[in-house]
Amino acid sequence: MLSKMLLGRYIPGSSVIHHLDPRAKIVCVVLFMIIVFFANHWTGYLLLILFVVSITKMAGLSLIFLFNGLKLILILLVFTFMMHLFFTKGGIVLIDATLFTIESAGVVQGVYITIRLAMLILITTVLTLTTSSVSLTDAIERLCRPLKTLRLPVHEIAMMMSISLRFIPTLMDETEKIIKAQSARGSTFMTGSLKSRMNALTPVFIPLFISAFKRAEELAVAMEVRGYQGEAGRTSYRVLDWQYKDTLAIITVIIFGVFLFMIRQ
Amino acid sequence: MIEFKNLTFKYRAADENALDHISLSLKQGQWTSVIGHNGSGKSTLVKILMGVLTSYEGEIVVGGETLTEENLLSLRKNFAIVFQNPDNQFVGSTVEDDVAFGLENNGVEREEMVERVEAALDTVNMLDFRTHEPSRLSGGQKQRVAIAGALVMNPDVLILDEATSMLDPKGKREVLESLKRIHGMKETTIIYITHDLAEIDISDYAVVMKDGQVISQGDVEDIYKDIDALESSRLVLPFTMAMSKALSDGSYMSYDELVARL
Amino acid sequence: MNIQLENLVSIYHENTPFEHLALNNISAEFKENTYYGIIGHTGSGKSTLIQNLNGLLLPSYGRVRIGDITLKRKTKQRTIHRAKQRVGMVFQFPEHQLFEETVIKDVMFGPKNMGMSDEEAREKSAYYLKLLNIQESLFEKAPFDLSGGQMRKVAIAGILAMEPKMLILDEPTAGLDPLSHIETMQLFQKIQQDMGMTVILVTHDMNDVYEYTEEVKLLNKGNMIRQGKTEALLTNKVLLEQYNLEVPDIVRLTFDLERKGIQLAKTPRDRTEFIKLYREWRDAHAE
Repeated sequence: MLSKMLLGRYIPGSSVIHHLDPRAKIVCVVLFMIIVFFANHWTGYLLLILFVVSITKMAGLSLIFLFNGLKLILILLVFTFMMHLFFTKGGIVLIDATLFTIESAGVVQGVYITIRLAMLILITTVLTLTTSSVSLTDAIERLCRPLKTLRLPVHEIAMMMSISLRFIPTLMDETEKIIKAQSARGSTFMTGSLKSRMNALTPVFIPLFISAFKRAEELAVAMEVRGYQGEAGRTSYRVLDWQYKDTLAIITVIIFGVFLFMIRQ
Repeated sequence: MIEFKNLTFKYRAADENALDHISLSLKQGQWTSVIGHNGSGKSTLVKILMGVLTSYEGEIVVGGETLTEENLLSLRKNFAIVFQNPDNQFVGSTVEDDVAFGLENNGVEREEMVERVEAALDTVNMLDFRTHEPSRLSGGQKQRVAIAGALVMNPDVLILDEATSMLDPKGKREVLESLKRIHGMKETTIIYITHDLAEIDISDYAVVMKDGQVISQGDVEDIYKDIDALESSRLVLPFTMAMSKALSDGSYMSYDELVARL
Repeated sequence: MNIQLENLVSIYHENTPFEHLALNNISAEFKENTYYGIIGHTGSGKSTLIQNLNGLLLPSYGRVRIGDITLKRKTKQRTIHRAKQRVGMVFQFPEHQLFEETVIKDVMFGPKNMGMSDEEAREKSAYYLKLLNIQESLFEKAPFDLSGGQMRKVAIAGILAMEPKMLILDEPTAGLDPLSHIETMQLFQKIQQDMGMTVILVTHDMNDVYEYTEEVKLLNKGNMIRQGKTEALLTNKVLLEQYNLEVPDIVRLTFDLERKGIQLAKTPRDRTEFIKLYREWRDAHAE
């Protein structure tokens, strides 16, 4: 199940979307989040779907693959649809049962809101699937640079993010090892009451925390002796290379937004 | 040239000195092995040299200059260190990012960085892995990347603090081969901390520590002059030497010499 | 109690793009009161194999018989639990699994999970801690206040106190200094002999396999290549080199001397025996 999850995963590739500057991609996604709300009738929603589908194609991702990977999210979408179905009132009464009524506005609204949400999830998934976590943190750090004037520790936060991301696989391996070791000592994670299952986690979390603290301490010493003293005087090995196509991508999204706004009813 | 003069250090909670009046001088360009059992003080020595531990008694002289809190940062630029656990010294998300970390901290220009990172990775034979994630490498590969990250700073002194003790035999061999190449290429001074007597025969000079004291030092042949002292220091004779002791005169010899002698 | 593997197949991530065949149709037996070594290069399937021996992994196909317990693809938790009691597993760096407030409580964790009463668990735990040279004065200390070597012993006691019939050791000496390495290996040998236990050692160290084990199973890329007596397999230089494994020091020296014309009475199993046999040869050939 988990191995099929796509949320937060990166799939290396060489599509146009992969090669866009991560800053451009983030800006586009943020713009898209606004644009989604411009659509207010079926042509608008149809265009939204078309737009997202074509971007997915450009990224070299198959829709079936995305659908399989996002099955869990489907529950959220169905739930959203139901909420609107039952609670949005207006229009013609379609079903009039004793406990609830379903009215046409509910159906329409349910469909629209679900499309919006689905498109937002899809587009952000395309972003994370085509951008490595390193590039994402780089881009966020640079996009957030203006916030430094507000005394926000942008560099430190970015450093923390990238180190955390770097340690995720290490800690995942470690967790698996500890679970196996405790399970070999007869610890059961799958059976018993909720309380006993929670108790079974203590033997996993304590060793994990101890090891994480030890790692953090050793890492801090390693960073210090390698000359890390915060941001001052630091240069950067990774460079982000903003190109003509990145500007073009943003302009395309803006034009799409403007168009969607114009056809509003 | 690094000199430790009458160095004494005690951990706050400990009853006994971790280092007890240590005097040592390590020559430029020399590969020095510091060997001792767990808790003999060998890693404490390194931690003091790197400025991780302070409040010691005695003096450390690096290139004629006494180490103080003021010049620690500038003197430390001459040293680079590789630690024991390969997983806990990676900062970068990819191999090349990690090797570049020290250069970034020192504000090296990007073009120069790329060249130096490439050269360092090439020296440890890891250039093909430059875009790999560290967590997907073998132990030996991780330590080689860590060595590249140290080497890229062009240090005068490269310190390895039990850098091979968590590796399997293959990983150990890979790391030692890389070190030999580095030592041959640039005459970098190497300080090699280990608990395994079998690893000292590649070094030019060896220092044996026991309970915070230096019990003998000299070239490898000298170290083996007092085999009983080694064995009473919680050290284990390597196979060849154990056989030399049991079946020959107990002097230092290589495996081939042993076969020839028997 | 014997363990039998019958056509064991182990596949990771079955039916996904990441599918990987880790063990391919393995049949093998582990007999009572025997010291086994499992050898093979990294990725040979050693680690998958041992996890199949106590139900940490279940076979994708085929079966594992542990005495009267049978583990198959869909065996129930309750049965797996019993398998874990019978086959204890000491993982690499076992000290990383300590978590309790006191040493004794940590050792009692396994026995209590296996259904022992508090008293019984405490009694067993104290017994095995003392067997591993952990003084009673340390029982109420936090395990994290002990030295690295002591922590490892506490972790090992935690497995022994479950009184398994079989003990699996996964690289038990990783990260130890040479003297602790020897002490640890001798300790396991003593446990194996005194308790008549089956011990399965998984390691890269061919010297240990040669010195301590009686039987060896050689794996390569998920296949069982060879099973047999240690002295037969680990003196087969061609076989070892073919699978990228080191020749034990003693074996190498014996062979090199043979080439020089020094023919020892037999291939010695450890340093002491080598020294004895060599002296015998020297005395016999002294003019």
